Order: sequence, then C-alpha cells, then structure tokens
Amino acid sequence: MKVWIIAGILLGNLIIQSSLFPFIEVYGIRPDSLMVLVISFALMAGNPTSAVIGLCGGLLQDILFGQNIGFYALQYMLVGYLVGLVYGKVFTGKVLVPVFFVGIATVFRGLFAFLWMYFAGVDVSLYWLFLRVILPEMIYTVIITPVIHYYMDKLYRHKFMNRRWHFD
Amino acid sequence: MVLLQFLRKHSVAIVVALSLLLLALAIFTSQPRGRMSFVEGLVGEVIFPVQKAIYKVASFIHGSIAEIKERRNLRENYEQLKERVEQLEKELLRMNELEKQNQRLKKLLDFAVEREELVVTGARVTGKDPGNWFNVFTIDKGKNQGVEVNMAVVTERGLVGRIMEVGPNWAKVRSIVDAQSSISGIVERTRDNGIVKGNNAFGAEDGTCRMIYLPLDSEVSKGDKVITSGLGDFLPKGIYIGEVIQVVRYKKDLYKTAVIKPGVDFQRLEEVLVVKARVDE
Repeated sequence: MKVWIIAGILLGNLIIQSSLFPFIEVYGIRPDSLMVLVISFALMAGNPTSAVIGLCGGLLQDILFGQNIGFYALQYMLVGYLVGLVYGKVFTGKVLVPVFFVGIATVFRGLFAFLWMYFAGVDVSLYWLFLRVILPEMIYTVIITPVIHYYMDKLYRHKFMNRRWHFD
Repeated sequence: MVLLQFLRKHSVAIVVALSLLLLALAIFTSQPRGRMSFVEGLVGEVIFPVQKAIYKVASFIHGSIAEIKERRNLRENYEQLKERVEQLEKELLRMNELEKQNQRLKKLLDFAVEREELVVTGARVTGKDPGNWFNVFTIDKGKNQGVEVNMAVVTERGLVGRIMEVGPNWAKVRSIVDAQSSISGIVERTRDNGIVKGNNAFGAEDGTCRMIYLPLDSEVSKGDKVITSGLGDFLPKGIYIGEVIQVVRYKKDLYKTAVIKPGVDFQRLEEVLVVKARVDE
C-alpha cells in the first residue's frame, strides 16, 4: 500500500515537474521538487527507504528525459542515502532542518553535474555555473521546501503510512 | 526478514556497488545511440498521454491568466493597437518588398530548396527536461509518423534542434542551446563556416549559442545572420539559426567566436515541424 503511494507521488512529481514547472520558471531556473521529496523521506523514514526513493525517482527522470541513464539516479540515490544516515539523530520537526539539507544537497548535485560535464569535455566554468545555475536553483528549491515538506510530513503521519513498511 | 537484515548490514557496500553500476551505466548510455531501449519506450508510453494532457491544461491556465491581465489594459491597448495597425500596414508594404528581394537573394545564394517537400510532420511539444541542466524536450510524434533520428526540428522562426531519440509515438529533441549540441553553420553574408554550440552550460543561462572556429580574417560582425551549412551532418542547408550579437576572440584561441541569439524563442515553444535533409532519402 505505502509503496504504491510513494510510487504514485514520484510519478506525479515527474509529470508536474515536466509539464507545470516550465510555467513557473524564473530566468530558466526551476525548483527541484524531487530533491525535496527525497530529503523529506530521508528525514522521516531514513534508510533504506530514502535511498530507494532517490534511486527510483532519479531513474524515472533519467528514463524519460535524461540523456544518460543513471545520471540522475546516482545523484538522488546518494543524496537519499547520505541524508538518510542522519535519520533519528536530528529533530525533524523544525522546518529549518529540511531546508538546510536541501541547500547542501543541491550544491552537491550541482558539483556532480559540473564534474560530469567537465569529464564529458563540455566547456564550463564552475564560477559561472555556481552563480547562474546552482545558487538560483538552491534558492528556488529552498523556497518551495517548507510547502512540500509540510504535506509529506502530514501524509507520513497519516494512518495509511503509520506502520513502517521497510523493516519487520 | 532475512533480506532486510542483509540489506541493512551491508548498506555501505550496496550503495557503493550501486553507485559504480549507475556510473558505468551513465557513461555507457552517454555514447550516442538512436533507438530507445525497450524500458524507456514502455515508461514513455505510460506517462506520455498524462503528461500531454497536463501540459495542455497548464498551457490553458497560463494563457487564461495572461488574458485576464491583458483585459485590464484593454482601453490603453486599443489606442496603442490602432497606432500599431498603421505602423504595421506600412511595415507590410515594406515586407512584401523585402519578401520579393529575399526570394531573389535566396536563388542567388543557391539554398532555396523546396522546403515543403522536406517537411515530415508537425508536432506538439509535450514536456521539458525537469532539470536546469539540459535543454531536451519531448514531442508527440515518433517512429510511427516517420520521425527518425537526426532529423531537424524547426519553427517558422528558425532551427530548434535535432531529433535525439525516437520512440513509437514520441521523440526526444536536443535543442541548439543545449551545451552538448553542435551543428555546422555558415554566416550568410561572409560565407564563413563554423560550429554552432549551445551555451546553456557555459554559465550563460540566457539561451544563446556560440559559433566557434570562425577564421581570424573573417569579417563577421554584429547583426549578421547565421544559417545551417548542410555540411557533414543531417540538417538541410539554409535553415535560419540566429543573429550574431557579439564577436569575441579569446586570447589563446586561433579562431574567432561569435555569440548568437537564436531566432527561436525557447521559453515559449509549443508547435514544431520535423524536417528531413533530402527528398530522395
């Protein structure tokens, strides 16, 4: 049951991201809602749930739009796994916690993309990339984080999701 | 459960192994390939109709909001528009003149092929790459409508990009502003050949391209038009790409670089045409 709900959320997110987000983009920058979802689940459920969510969400994105299968999947899986490690160690009630991790993870993802491009021989400057893409994306994503996190938190406390489905 | 215990015990090893696997997969799939894999096609077939519907609804909402804003300034607009009509009528006369001149010039320049025969199909844009990093979008026509890899995608305002992958009823297009796109172009006035590359990972997320490998003695200047050269690749000759807005020479380079503003508005792309390079193919 819960697995299907999460799968539905990921699928819905992908559809919204690719069809609705082009209309809210600012100077070509769109927020990364998948990142918020992965972080939310990492803080609420920990591993291996969040790593699997990151992997599946990234893989979906790869398959539909990516040019390199595994590119997004790897990034989101690592984010899900690494943030999932702090599960249970931090107090997740405060909205600043997901905001903090989303910020860090967006920069991580940006650096990953930079390295990928660098080794693919694309002519990029990290400085400009940071100013024009990574930083704006971080700000925009951080802005939408509280909204998504609030609803995910509510959903997770809902009776459907009450029983932990990943172990026992 | 035993499986979950195993997973938790060796989580680091599993994550590392999966990471390496995904990295290998990403590198492997970054090599150019035409056909989509079976899974890609399947997932696309499932999501695609929903996506198309939502994109339509979103376009509609977006349009409606814009319309309401428009109505507020209706009166003002009316006066402005009246003036504008007069202007445009004058413009039209001039344009007709230019049109004729253009046709003559085209013949002169020898790239006026019958474009209509080249058109394979019209298509609607159904979705864009969710990330900020690449400029790839999907269209609603595919193999079943005769679309093939490397065909050119255009609008009436110029070249949009090139078909990257083809599914049964949909296809991925890599736009010319994508950092990984490179096409062979020619400056219309000076006949200089060069390679037009996308700028979108260059730090300049402003939807421009840059044309590199222009000879040092090239007289290319601001305002020159750039068209496809038809050399080497699969694009038809003479499709408008954009206008030169700046010419620079980086110190270490042995060539000039021109910054190009594409004719196509990549922020608002709804309908496109797919064209093939030659009629006899």
